[in-house]
Amino acid sequence: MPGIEFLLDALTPLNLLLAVFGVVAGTIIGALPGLTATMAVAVLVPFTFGMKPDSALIAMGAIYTGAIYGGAYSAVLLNTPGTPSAIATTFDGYPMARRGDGDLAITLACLASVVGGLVGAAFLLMLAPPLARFALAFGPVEYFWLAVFGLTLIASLSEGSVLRGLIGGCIGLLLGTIGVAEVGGDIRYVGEFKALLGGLDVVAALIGLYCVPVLIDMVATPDPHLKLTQQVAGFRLKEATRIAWRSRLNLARSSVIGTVVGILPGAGGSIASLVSYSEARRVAKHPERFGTGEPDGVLATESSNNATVGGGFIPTLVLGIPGTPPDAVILGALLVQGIRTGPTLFSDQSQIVYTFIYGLIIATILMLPIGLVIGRYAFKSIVAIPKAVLVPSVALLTIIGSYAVHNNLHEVQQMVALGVFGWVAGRLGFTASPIVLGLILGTIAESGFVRGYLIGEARGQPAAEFFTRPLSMAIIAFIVLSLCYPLLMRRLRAKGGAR
Amino acid sequence: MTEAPRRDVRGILGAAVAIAAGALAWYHAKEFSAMGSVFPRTVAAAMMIFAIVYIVVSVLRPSASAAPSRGSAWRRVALVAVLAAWSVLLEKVGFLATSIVCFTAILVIANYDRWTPRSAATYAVAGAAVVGGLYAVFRFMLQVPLPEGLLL
Repeated sequence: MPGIEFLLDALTPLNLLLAVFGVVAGTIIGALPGLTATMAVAVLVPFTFGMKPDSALIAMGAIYTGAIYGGAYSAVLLNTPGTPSAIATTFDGYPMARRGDGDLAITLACLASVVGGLVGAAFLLMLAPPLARFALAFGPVEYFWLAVFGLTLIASLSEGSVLRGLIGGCIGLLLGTIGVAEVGGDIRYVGEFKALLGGLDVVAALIGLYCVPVLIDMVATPDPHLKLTQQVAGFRLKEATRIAWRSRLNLARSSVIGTVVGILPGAGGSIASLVSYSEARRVAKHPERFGTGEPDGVLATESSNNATVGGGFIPTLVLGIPGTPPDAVILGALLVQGIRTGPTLFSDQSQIVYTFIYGLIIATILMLPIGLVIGRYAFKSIVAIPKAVLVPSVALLTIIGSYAVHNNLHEVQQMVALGVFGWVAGRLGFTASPIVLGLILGTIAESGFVRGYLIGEARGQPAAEFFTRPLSMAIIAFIVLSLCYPLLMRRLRAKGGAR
Repeated sequence: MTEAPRRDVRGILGAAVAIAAGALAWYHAKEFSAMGSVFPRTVAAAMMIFAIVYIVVSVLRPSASAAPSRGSAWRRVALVAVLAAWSVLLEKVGFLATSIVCFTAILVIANYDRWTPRSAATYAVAGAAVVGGLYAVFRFMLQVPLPEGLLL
């Protein structure tokens, strides 16, 4: 194993303490709606300036991985993704909590996060330089097709009607065009509201569209928010381990997807978890169970979003190009520490890099006991708190969370407005997930499309630019497969049944 | 919970709103450059087509639709009003003062149990702990410059 001699350096009492502190702090910050992994790292990064570079990196890596996992708590218990990476966790995590399996969902999320985190870190340890070169092969056209791949998930998120899901996706795509266009600089759909020039903030939109409708419905009836199963005992770790072992292929596939998407600069955990969810559903024996509280959905999303941590560090360390937004903050901290990232980092400063990677692996392993304990406490608290206190507490979190993203009051107002819009849309049969999907992927899709088109036009073949590049063709093949596979399977099953 | 097949009036209404929104988005896109308008126009057109198809399908083939959840309308409206007031007054009045008032208002809206001196005292302590705790965490630990306004 490369750099195994540095394992002991990672196991010093100080580094272990930093790993524990990082995971605990990251998990708690990530669990608060509105506080993203980027913010968790950014807030705590000044504390690392006085440390040795390897210890500083371990602390930041632990905070980052903890925050990505922490996002699952509010996704499962409140239907509000703590971080954008946990959007897809709400699809099955919240229905599980509603039927009384919230503790199981959290334990599954913890197990999946640990597996995903370890797979991402293993790729970072073994294959960083060649994988970083792969990231450079991704151009605007590939990003466009990747976003389209994510949008194919709309079909599976459309509760009851694919058409309603498609309309919702279009609403999200249109909402994503509000503000100054990334390419061309047009000011679109802003009207007199100058505060919208920067566009709708994704985190404020997430909180509004997912959390406010839940609050509006919570106050309407005296029913308890979540059920508690009678036979709750311990962490349900045995049951969760059994489910995770049965779904080991799903876990492995989702972790690899998470790592690969994490390597692509700008893609991040939200796309990774959406693509993994889509793939898990596509190959599942019972795809119709997805969205209704299917444990495989939670396993897929949570393993892939934590795998982006290790994946994101690959281009950050090898190329100096941050794979995800928190990586950009960490890259800045590395520059403060005097570390020059680049292809020679693994040979010139191997002690720092390998100590950090082993530290990240240790922090990920520590996430299992820490995550289980915090998760159990969080679940019990949410179940035990009377509704009269829970509703205003969550409302306060939505307000403070959407404000804290950019310290901007307009984003709080956006959050409330989108929340009411989400509730009305829900009453009309249009669920939040396709809208959010369109909002998140729209910007990437448009930017990739317009840039790809301009490059193609400069070469005199705009269409060829989209359909002749090998990587594009591979993603298009996945899109076609993703769309046709359920139909194909239905036909094959029908044929088998007829026989 | 699903009902027997019947015309999805709510869905049709939503689709009609989507057609209107799509038409508006298409119309306003004429103010943008060719590069800036191609994406919103494509999406607006797609949305209108999907919505028209949805209306046609819903009218021709009624299907089982989810029954909307019931509940108190005034509590819903009151909650939205408090959230809206919270988001507007935050800057002028100050985070802490607005949050104490709005937290209390939502607590009253969400409470279905009979008020007793004991429950009132418990909720007051819990509210103070939540508002004060979150204020301290964000203001002092996370260094978020929360608005101070006229009060605090």
